[in-house]
Amino acid sequence: MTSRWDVERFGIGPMATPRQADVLLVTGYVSLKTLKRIIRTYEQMPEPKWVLAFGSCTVNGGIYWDSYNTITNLAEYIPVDITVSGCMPRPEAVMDALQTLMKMIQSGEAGAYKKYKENYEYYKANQDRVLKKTVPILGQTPKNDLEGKNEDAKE
Amino acid sequence: MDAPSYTLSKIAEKDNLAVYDLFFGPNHPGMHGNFGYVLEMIGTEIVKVRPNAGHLHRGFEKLMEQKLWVQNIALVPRICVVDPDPNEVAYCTAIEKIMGVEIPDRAKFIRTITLEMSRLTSFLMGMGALGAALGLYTPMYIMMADRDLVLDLFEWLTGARIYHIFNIPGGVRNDLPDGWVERLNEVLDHLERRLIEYDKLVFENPIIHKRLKGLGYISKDEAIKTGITGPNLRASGAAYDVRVDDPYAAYPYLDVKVITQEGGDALTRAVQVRLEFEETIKLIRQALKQMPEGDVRLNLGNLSMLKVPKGEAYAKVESSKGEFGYYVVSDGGLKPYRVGVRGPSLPAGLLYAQKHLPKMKIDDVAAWMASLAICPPDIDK
Amino acid sequence: MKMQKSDIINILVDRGYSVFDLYHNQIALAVKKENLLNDLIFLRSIGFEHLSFITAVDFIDEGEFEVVYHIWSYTHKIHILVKVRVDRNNPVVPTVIDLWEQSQFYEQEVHEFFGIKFEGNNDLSPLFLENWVDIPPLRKDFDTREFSIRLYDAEVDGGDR
Repeated sequence: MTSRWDVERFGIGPMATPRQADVLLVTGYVSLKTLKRIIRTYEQMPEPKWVLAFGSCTVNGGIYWDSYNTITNLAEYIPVDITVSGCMPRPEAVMDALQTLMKMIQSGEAGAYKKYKENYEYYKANQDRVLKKTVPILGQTPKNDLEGKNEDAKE
Repeated sequence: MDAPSYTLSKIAEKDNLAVYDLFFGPNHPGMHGNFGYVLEMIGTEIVKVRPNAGHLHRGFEKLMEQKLWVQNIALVPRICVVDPDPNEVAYCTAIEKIMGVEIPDRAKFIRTITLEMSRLTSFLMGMGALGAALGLYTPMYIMMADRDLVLDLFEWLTGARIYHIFNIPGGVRNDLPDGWVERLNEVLDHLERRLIEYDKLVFENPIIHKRLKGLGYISKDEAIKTGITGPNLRASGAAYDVRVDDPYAAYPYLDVKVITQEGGDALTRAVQVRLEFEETIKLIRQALKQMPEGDVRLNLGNLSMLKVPKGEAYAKVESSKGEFGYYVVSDGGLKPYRVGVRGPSLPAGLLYAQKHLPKMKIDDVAAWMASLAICPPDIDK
Repeated sequence: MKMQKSDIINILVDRGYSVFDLYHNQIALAVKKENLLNDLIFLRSIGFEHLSFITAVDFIDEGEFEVVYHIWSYTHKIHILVKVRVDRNNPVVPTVIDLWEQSQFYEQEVHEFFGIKFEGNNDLSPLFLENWVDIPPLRKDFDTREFSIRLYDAEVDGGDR
């Protein structure tokens, strides 16, 4: 994204802190530890703010759909404005998405950050379900398994 | 941990609010990669370190048990972002060892050339990151532009810029296209001319010398005992290289020069990368001259129905960061029974963080990480 | 000084180990967990000083875990796989952090993913996973697809999104 496909000519440049940024780029898969940091970063950004999601892993899980540590749909946890598909997307596709985002902002279509405030309970319920687990998901408890008893309590 | 031997620790004993936690984590501009250290600090000096790994953990070893042998070749290069080819070669070499087959000679040379080209891109990114960690941004932009020239060659040969999925059990997927070798020679000539500029910008820069001298010293015996491999080991004085000790692909036919230096600190490691860069260009030229004609893959039937006989093997390759190893266990079926991955950055990233970082100042942490070539994805897998 | 693979196999067989000759520079040894530390100290004394990594395999049909130590000798250029079998219901293995310091992290990883305890290692806290309440994930009775479908609403083959 640097010298060959220069994005600074469009007026886009990287920022060191989320408090001064406008757009959050989520590139690729998101694991659980990273999801916690992404939510905090998103909530630290001042409004208006937009989210750009790269790669197929943010849409339906991509190549890691059956992994126990990656999420499959980023739009359930933070609101997303534009998604770029591909694994990984080419630099030209990324720049096309940035220009489309700029047009959408000018025409007033991109307003996903308002959805976060209106539907906060929905997003918070999804985030807590994934990050704050208390019950084993598959019904097998660790202590019983180590002693040889395997109680499969599936609901 | 023992109390550090400077006077500020006396303050800390009486006033426990003087020690604070700094999350040098994924959100810090000095960290390259999605990895974190929790640093306990007094002022700007570090007292204690706790690594916070796992941000990039995708569960590869579990995922590889659910997919066919040939489908895993799409998963395997994603374990290391900067240098993906050694992963494919190590996985395929382990399978070929269990099956007891030997690939054709032309395939061996093509594998060697792609491995060395991948090493070039990784060194370019490594040298750029070292400059950027100290505030020198110009070499990073120039080196990323040069890296794009090599990535274009990869796209012409395999169809993708970064994750090639080019090696299969039995050889490589396709032969070299017409005109590719001439373009490769042009790119190598261009890179050799650029080395003079890199020298002036990075390696003869007095600020780099002053900041990196004496940082993170590792002695030869300590390096062998704690599992450091690759250019870091050779910069401490031990002349060990997987390409010479346990050769694979076309290395038995090539003359690999093992470069060692005495020194063991961060400046020696930076110069080691520069010397190995020149040696890599010479190796590619040697391989191009000696390449024979012939097939590029064995006929193993339909690869989606490949059954590997029962057995196990450990195969390792020399990547730009060290020894990358794959331990493959097969039970005779269509899917692997267990695949274990050995990443080269784990001893440096987790163990040496607890040995070197205490008593260092916060300004040097980013440069220390870049000099040891710590790449978080192969710690987390 | 450099020994050939056949000399090393003879030395090991004379001491009573069961040795498997895998490839031209790889051999496998099966040891018992009570003698594990002494065996590794002996191997280190004859030149096998580089520990590549420590891993484990789950043989659920036989009811056992197998912990594998990969060691390499720079002088003889031979790779040895040292294998230890433990019972699946109560897996305990002695630690080797006094011999190789980096094994602290390999043992933490194996404990987190398989549930094997290493006696003598004081810090077996989770390294990669946070707030994990299920069984250790790399065991063969943990179904990762079912987990992903239940928790993350994954759809097989991408679904319709």
